[in-house]
Amino acid sequence: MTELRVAASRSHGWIGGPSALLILGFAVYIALMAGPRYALLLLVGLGLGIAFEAFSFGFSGPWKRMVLQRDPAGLIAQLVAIGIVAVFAFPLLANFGHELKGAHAPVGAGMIAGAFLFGLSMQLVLGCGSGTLVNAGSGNVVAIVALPFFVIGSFLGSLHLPFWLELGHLPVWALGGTAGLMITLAGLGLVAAFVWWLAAADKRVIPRRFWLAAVAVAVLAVGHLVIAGQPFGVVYGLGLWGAKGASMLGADLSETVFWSSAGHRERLGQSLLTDVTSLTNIGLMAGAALVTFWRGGMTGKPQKALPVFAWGWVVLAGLLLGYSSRMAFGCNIGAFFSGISTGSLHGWVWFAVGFAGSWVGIKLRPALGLGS
Amino acid sequence: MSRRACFIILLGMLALLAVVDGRTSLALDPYASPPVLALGSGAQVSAGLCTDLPDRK
Repeated sequence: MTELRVAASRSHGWIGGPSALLILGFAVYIALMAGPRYALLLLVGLGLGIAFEAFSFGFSGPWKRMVLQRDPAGLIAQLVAIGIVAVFAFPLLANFGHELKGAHAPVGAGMIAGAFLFGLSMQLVLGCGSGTLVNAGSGNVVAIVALPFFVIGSFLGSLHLPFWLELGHLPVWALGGTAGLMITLAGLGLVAAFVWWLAAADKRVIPRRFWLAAVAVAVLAVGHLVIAGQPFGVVYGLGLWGAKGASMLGADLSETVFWSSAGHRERLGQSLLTDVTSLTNIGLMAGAALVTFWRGGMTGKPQKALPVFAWGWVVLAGLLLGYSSRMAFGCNIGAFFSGISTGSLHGWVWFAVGFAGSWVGIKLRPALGLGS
Repeated sequence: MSRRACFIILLGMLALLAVVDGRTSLALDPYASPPVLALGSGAQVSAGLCTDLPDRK
């Protein structure tokens, strides 16, 4: 997931064992204090973090490689993972719709603008919704700087969401049933074939690690749906962290449209240990950290330096990641990955517009002092 | 900045988050434990999507 690699130092690999025990102990604590379902969600997040980091699988990097090198491997692996999830999610949603919920949201002006800005921003920090958390967990300094601003941006986005909704949107439109699944798989196949056709001749090989990553992420995402009752997501938890911080500082969120609605108000008063996305977010960071420890990556060597002004762009991109993902009803995970795999039209629109934003972000990087 | 320093900063952020959560949350109730899986619980779940906004009219 990370572009800023440092030389590994095996001398620090011993931390992995105690860290794993500590995380498992935390899961047991959650199981006892909040319930086994929440402990399982932490472990699902942990597994996702391990899969993303161990297989170097993500979203922003593969999109960048597709644009700059016409290397389709990572992007096709994403589509494969989405397809596998869809094969399970469509029948589950069709048969247990009163217990399970898809990542369905409307297409609208704010949603489209948000997807474009998110795609652009995720190339500036080289981390998407999951990628920023995984990179932060692996000790990446850019992600560490961007993460708190991602949280603030997501909270601010939740406050302004009614404005963006009032700009106009279509009704929620989602595919379902066997026909919906066939259309979704055909769409994914068509995009994969198009990407393959665009690829450079010497890049038309998908490494084994990407196949393994696609299967691992898909299995865990289906597990997430069954355990949580909702698809894998990232941004809601970050916005909740920001809202709790604002509450502690004295902000009255009962006057806001978003946080005064019943479900969100309840979440605000409950522990984060009972919030689905908060638990998986923590698990993502912990999983990436474990892999980094096991690889002996906790070295004292400094990471690649950026010009001072480039850090300003990282901060702005972090804010934009959070804000735009709220506008877009999710990030690359909640909207693109989970939206498409549960039949939502907004997932497809997010993909197209987010990729266009990524293209702009990739072209902007050198001019902003962020490297190629 | 070294990766070790980044880990320490991240741990500090998570500790701050724990403090914020502790100051803004009701105590956990171990007896209110939900079922292990949503599937089969019979309960309607909320995905926390923004479409759950109240009617402003």
